[in-house]
Amino acid sequence: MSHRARSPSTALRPTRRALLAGLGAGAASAFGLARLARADAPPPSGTAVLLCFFPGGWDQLLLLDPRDPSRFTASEAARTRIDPRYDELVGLGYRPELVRPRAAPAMVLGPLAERPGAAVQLTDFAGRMAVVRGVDMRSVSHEVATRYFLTTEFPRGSLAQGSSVSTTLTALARPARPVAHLSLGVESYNDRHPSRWSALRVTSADDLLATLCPAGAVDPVLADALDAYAREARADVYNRRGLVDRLQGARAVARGLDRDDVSRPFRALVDDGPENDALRARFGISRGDFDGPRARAAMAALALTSGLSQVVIASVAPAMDTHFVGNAGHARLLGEGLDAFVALLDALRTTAHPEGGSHLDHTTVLAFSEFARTPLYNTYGGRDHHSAGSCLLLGRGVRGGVVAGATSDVGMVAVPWDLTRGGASPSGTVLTPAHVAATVAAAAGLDPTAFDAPPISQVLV
Amino acid sequence: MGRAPRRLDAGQLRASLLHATGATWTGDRRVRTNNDPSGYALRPATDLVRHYASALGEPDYGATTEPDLDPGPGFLRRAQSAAQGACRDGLRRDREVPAGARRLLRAVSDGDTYARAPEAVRANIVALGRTFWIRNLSPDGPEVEALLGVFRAVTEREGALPADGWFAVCVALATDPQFLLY
Repeated sequence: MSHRARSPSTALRPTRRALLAGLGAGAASAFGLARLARADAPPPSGTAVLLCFFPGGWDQLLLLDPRDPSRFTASEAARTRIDPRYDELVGLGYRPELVRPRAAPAMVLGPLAERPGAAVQLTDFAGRMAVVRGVDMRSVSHEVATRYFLTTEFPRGSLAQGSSVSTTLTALARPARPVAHLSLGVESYNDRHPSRWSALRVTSADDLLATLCPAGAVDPVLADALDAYAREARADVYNRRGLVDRLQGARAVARGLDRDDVSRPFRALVDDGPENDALRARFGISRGDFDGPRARAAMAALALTSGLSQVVIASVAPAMDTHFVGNAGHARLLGEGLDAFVALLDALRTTAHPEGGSHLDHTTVLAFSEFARTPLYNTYGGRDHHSAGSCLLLGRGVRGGVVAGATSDVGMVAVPWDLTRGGASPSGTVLTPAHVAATVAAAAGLDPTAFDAPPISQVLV
Repeated sequence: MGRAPRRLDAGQLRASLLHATGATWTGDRRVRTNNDPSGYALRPATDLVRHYASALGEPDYGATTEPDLDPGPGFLRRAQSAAQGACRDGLRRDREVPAGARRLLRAVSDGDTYARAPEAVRANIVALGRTFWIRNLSPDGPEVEALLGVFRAVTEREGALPADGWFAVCVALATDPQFLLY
């Protein structure tokens, strides 16, 4: 049975479809995808937020919270409880030393900040990037710490409490976008906001396209009949926890997707042709990869630059839970994630925003992992879970070249931080995910009091 | 009701569609391969509920062990696609099996329109309410009237077939909160 072929009025589809088919013009042209560009793309407005998740627990010593290997030597490790072992990275082409970005002299990063042979480096963004160290994750369980960072509320057992930070930020921003809040391979929660701010959660390019494309009811009479029915469909007995209301809110998002074909920019991810070639070259996506970190990074860039979404959370790295391999094994995985992340930043930086500047100028970015790794090797030659985490912010509203928060020089324990004046202080506050979330909100021009901690003022412009 | 309501998980959605329509949501699935220059091949007739299980909230038991049962846009969107796929295949199946084995065309024959057989159409909607929602709907009640409205809107136009109307009614039933929540 084909409704599509027999429909008498398919040609009368609403003009908004044609209008919004132009979504992605800016993205497409900046990515070198001229054939995707359209002149009628509506300009995105409002600050975007991009949260990039590195799952599995990244090694802070390799990137965001390094130690000088000439001071923290193997012979001193019994005292310092810190053993960087950067020499193990030499075989991968890294220099076994600290990286001091020219654009940010006060910032010291680990060897992975400069990827061997990479055309675009993380340090290229150092002048607009801030590092937050010593974030106390209170747990070394992946599920618990991930959900703690995602929601800023400590889980009950392993069950998430509260709403995702990305959901709260979306509810604060109230963006008028087809998919206000997009999650690419990351859990998402919403226990208090209208469901239209819940994340549309997808795991692959195929999944995203299947979700964005009209679900099949392209016969307008059929679509209208189902729509009219669904608007009235109630089942109050199931609405004790607002489930029916949330389902109806989700229906409003789905109706928008049925009405406006916003999938066009994303077809370049899967359709063979020059657009696909350009996108794969830019993000280093191998053929047949529709669900890897690089593909998700490309989807995140397209979602933001095309105006599909205003808040995007994406898992941009492979799982990095490396207990049984040393620095070199971890660096391979973390490096792959960093390549995807840097390609994403570069896409935002080189794509013009309709309101002036680049998309990166209009986007607040946070990169995070659920925790860090132990500063000493375990007996298997790898590193286990360590609760003092670190993260990276950049883009709109972020003061570049700044480092806030700290870990101790013995055992890398999170130390209290003076939120007003900066600097480690016994009378200060141990940083938590809520401080980070409030900082992201403030940088994006949103109300930081939605979170139970003040923002880290040193990080803000 | 003594417990908190919740939405169907992926396995329940698949089983419920199979029970109600006699079909599940199937289609082409892209899989990686080194045997094609494109890097992928299309695997036909894949069980798409299972394929999208993670996106439907199934835990992977690696990173997560708890299902995500939020009835948000992502779930609804796939539930809509699943309903359309299952209803389309269910109607096709119904035309190929004896009348007694039909799941969707239980009380009507293929050519029954509302103008020609209004009682049969109503009776079929009541029968579908029993299958999809496990409820006995009143033939004159508001729910049957609403579903009848869907059937008539789709079929009472030039060139439309009763099967188009039953497809619409099937999708309406399978995307109703009474089907997706329990």
